[in-house]
Amino acid sequence: MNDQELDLAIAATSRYSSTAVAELDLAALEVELLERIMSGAFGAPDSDSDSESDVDGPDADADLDTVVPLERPGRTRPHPQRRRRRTTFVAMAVAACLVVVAGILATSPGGDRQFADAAIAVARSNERLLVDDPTWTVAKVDQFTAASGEMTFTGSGRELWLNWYPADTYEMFLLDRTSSYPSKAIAVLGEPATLVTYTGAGFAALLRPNDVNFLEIRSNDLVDEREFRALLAKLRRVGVDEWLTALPERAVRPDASAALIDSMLQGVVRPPVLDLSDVEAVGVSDRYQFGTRVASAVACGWFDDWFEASAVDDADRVAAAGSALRSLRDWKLLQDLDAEGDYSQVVWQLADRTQLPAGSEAGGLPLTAESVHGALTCPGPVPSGR
Amino acid sequence: MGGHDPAEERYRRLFEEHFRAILGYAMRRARTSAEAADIASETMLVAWRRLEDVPEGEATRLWLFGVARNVVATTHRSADRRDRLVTRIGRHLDDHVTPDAAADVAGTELVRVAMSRLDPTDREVLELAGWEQLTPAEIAEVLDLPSATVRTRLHRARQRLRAVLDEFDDDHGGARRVDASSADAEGRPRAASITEESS
Repeated sequence: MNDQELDLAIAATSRYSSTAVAELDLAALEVELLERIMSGAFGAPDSDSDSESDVDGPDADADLDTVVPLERPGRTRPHPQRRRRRTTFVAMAVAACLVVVAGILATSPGGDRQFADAAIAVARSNERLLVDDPTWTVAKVDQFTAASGEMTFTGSGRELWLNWYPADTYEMFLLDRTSSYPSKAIAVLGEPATLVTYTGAGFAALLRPNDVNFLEIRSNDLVDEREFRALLAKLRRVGVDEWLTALPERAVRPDASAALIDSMLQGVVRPPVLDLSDVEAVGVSDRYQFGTRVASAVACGWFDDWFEASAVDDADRVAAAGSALRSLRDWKLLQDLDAEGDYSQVVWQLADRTQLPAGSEAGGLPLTAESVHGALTCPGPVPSGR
Repeated sequence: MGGHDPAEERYRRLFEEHFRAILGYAMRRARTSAEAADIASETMLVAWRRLEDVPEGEATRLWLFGVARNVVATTHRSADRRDRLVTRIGRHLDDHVTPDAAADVAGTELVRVAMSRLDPTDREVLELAGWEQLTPAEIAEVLDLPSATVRTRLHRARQRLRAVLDEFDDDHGGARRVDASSADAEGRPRAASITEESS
């Protein structure tokens, strides 16, 4: 089942379609609601509510602050505000890192730095944890940004997952975990945490959030709480070099990403616009995920060109873009990725469909810029066309 | 209420264009119709009070989804503290809305159960993509996350959902097949059904 088919199956689980909601005979109540909101009567203490409203009164603004996005999301890609924030953060991390490295060099005469500043900056910006047991190793690490990240440890055929999530999702996670399964307070890494015991097998430990994120540690394999807690007790915070050294071969470090991008782009015809911003935005990444982002930049660039050329009936440009898209079957990167996931198949299937007549629905959804951007998670704005 | 105040005019347009989308978002996530009406009304109230913060254009809808999402997470008003108008809207929904027939197909229930096994963050991105038909970039706006993060979350969530569905396959000793037909005239996916085949 490819991503599109899976999304369709998920869409079918929605109990209320947008069409059904749009067709509701609700106009009179809507007008009433609109007028009462604008008149200030809705939700006010003296309105026709049964009792005092939760949302009005002296704390109304405080309540609003909990639901209004902190950052105005009226952006179209690329996200200049977000990029500026991230750039500032990385710059600060690098600056802090330089101080530390200077200190290390001062106390370690002749010491060669093993990792480049970019890798150290990412490592420093995240909590660095390892399992203090030689039988447990890091199997996978992905998507390390300032707020989120994931590490998978394996040992004796079992897995331990460390997930960092944004701090503002902590309450949602805690409610989700503790509403269905027994929980109790424990300490992890010397900090208060909540231990959740899943029915059958599996445990989760949620640490309290800091200003940026919180850590959840999970295992679905362990059935003995003492075993899980013994494993938690083996977690220890480590230094930058030790953490970076422990990362698996398939982890892409930021200092290696530029060379890897060049390597991955070999043998492929580059589109007129190649947007690699999404590739460069991630710190430490898994190689497969990294590869799909590079592939997405190229494939989406060609698809955008094909849609734009179609919109202006530029037959030569359409033919050139179509030819480039079909040649993606020969791209080594996509062939390599094909062994690990279904991303390549989606690219190839969509590319093949550029040969079909406009408006054709053969093979699934109509080929539109929107559907391609959705299927390939393209980094740029959706072009008009076809 | 005069009709010439630019802010009021803007809010009327915003309400007209987006209330149903927000109501649908709420109905798909709330436990009861009254709760859905409460979430949608609260979201529109927030938009009125913070109109100067609401971005223009397509971003309006995403901003409202972001607010509705937070309202879902923070609104726990009991029925006796609910505005009567909200209660009336809730009752109207109860009387006039029935869940889509496709939602009752056995295979769809299988996907729903599989979804319930996922982490809330995995579920949320899948629902925003599948139910609200948002692109990863739009989901990133709603969740206020980098698009690269959303892309990875989506990929990971789909992998985990497939893994759970595969477990069901093993449990049922048969092959599972998903039939996903093409989109309807409005671009909304038609029912996808999963049929069990004994081996």
